[in-house]
Amino acid sequence: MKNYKNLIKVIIFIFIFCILWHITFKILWGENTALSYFYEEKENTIDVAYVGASNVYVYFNTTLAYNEYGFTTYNIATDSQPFVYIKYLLKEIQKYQKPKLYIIDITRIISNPDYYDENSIRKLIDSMKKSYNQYEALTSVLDYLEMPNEERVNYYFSFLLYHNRWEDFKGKSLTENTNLYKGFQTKNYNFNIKPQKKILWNNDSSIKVTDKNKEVLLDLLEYINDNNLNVLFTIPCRTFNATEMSKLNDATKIINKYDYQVINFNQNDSYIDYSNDLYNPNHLNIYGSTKFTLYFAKYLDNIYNLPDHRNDEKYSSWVEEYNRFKSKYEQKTNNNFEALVKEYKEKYNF
Amino acid sequence: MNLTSFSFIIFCILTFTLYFSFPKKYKWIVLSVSSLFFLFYKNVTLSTLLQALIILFVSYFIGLKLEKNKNTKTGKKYLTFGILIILGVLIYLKYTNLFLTTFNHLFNLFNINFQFELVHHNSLIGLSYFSLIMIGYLTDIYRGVTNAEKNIFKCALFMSYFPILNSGPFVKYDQMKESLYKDHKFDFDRLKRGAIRVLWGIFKILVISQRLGIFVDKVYGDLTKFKGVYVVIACLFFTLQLYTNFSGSIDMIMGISEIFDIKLPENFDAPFFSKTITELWRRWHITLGAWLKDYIFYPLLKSDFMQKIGKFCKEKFGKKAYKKVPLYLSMFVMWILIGAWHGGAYTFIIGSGLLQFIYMFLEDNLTPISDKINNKLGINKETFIYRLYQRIRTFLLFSFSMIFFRAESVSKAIKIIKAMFVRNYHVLIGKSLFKAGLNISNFAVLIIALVILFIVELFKNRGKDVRDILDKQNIVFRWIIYFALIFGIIIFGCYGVGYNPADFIYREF
Repeated sequence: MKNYKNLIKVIIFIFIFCILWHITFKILWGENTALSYFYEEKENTIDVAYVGASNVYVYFNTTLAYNEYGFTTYNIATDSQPFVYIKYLLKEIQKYQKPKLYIIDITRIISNPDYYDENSIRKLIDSMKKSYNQYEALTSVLDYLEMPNEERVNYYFSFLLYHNRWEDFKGKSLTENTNLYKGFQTKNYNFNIKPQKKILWNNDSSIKVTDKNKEVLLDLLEYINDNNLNVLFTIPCRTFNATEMSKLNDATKIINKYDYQVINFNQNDSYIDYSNDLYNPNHLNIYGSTKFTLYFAKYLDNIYNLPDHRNDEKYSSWVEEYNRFKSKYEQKTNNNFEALVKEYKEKYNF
Repeated sequence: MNLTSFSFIIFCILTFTLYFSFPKKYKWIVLSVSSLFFLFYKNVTLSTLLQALIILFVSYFIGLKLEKNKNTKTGKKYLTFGILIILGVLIYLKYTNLFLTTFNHLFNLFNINFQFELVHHNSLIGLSYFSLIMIGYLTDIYRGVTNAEKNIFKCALFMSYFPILNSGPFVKYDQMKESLYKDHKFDFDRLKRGAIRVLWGIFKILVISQRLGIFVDKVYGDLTKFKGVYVVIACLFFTLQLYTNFSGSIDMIMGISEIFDIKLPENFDAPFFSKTITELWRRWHITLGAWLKDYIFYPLLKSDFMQKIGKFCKEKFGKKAYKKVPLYLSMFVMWILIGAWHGGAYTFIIGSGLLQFIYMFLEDNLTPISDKINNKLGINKETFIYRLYQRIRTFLLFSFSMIFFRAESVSKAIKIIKAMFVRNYHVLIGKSLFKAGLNISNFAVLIIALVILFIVELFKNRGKDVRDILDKQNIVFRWIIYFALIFGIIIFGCYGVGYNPADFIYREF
């Protein structure tokens, strides 16, 4: 009888511990990313899942695309997101949504393991729900980076990092990220204008992607093939050096062999004004992203027969997010966003 | 294996599970296998195997010989032989560099152009503990205090019982043998009490000691930037860091042993409530003091050599010298050995040896004088204020000696002492204090944690175990305390990314 009572006590104790643990780390965990907000989306309401790194989340304004054409796109992308993650991200998305199209940004196929830092590893994985897929994703990236065993423990048990965040806690949420609009990120620096020199795309492919990266890409293509996913690959409009272009050309050839299309936005970018539309050599600013979104959303709407949800109450959050984005734009620039959209549509025939 | 590491926690859980799942007669075997695994964890080399085997075989076989030759001349020869071998291994592995440094200093002094290269020996974890424990074991058999262990594997378990390999305490065979090999049944209350003590130990190490260490390392690491008040605070903080680190690891060890139902002697008894240094050493690392008294101090004091010195002094300086001179000489030898045991460097010999001897010598000789002054001035020694003054004085004196204990060299210790005398009291006002590694939030956590520690120690000083007091409270209150302790460690502990692993200051001794 006494043992029975003790067992009940232990179970209740563990149960309370789990609740307190959950509450504690909900408060202290790292800043929410597109993935953590993605989990809050209603089931099977995403038409297009756009995955990749920063060239996704500051490029494609998902709320604008919805406002123009009515289909829903979610950017699931984090800073310098390792390419190894893509396969596991596709698996994760399928648990909650049934997108009609997956778009994969292949920029990071040019990066070697030494390019990635702790931030790029953690941003995605720490906001991913705990599951075997999360474990596999993390293990794959740590293997890819050849991380020593003694350092791996800090990634598998992320509270080892986040428990220190009590020092930053001053009554406000540490996790809320108000700069995300259905995966489209707009921070203050996205409004900056830094003129850049346009570098013409070179189609010569003398430098190939590394064997390690090729292996990752082939594994991803096999996965897509095996699961019959409708996938489109993209190369973002930005400045690349000759080596990077060469590697991207090589990756394009590999992808084309699997009969998948790669759109290189640098080869048809007459609408991008390099003196006005970038905030640094590698990223479009808010003006560039507005043009890019109008161009690409029109293309997607024409080619992929995507549904229009604009009159559906179920999708009201997309309207709210568009309005929240518009307010931010107007607050930052003192200009009307819809007037800007109208101007671009007329000027570039989007 | 670090006591606060995941691997150690998993290792303990596995050992507990196996220990309580195995049938009665195999329980001690589970403990033996676990202890050997712990002893050789990531350190299996020919050298470490030899170290363990030499000490084990010498202890076991000479123990058997001593069993038949208790208190005899032959026995004495066996005992001397055994002690010399064990000490030889210990000195070779731990003190070679101390001797080489001494020779190098002497060569410098006499302008001899030759220097020995210092060596690095890979020694087993807990070597300083178990070699002295085994010397005590042999001596006790010779004295007839205990019998020799007939089973070599049981002897190996006594030598390598894993909880004590990290930082003691020193144990005696006759105290341990019954509970070490006995069949212990699982008991929920014991598990609960043991786990609370383990958690309290982790709290002391990760929340207090590691946090204090950040400030101490920062200040001692940059004496050109941090002087005066910073150094004084760092000096006091280091004493607290050392105490919370060492007593925290002992709490963990005691808690683990309590779960197994294996009784170990207490090693600390609220030492900072001591009114004299002599009292402090009766309450700090109690088992080391007891070991040295039993096996060094009293045998030395009672030796023919000391008796002769006593008689000589009596003739020359009078009756008092007959008692005092052998006493002080024995004390001196004992304290130098305590200092040397703490580490093969002069900083340890001065900090935890020589200075402690000087304090005690002065206490012994100045107390009668101060008593006379107090009587004449009508000062009552039993008042709270006077007791507080005595405790603060003891703490300050002890902290001063710990400067040597912490410093990398004697010259560095002197630099630290010099740096204390810079007048920068303004540091205490404003935010300057928060520039030495700990910001205001961390200072706040530290102060709250130290207050909690003080309350627990206060109860201990009054002979009460906080766990007994908690047991009398209702379940809601108890569980609030347990969860506060657990989440206090998880949230405010200095571990994980950005911190060095919580290593134990006493571990390497």
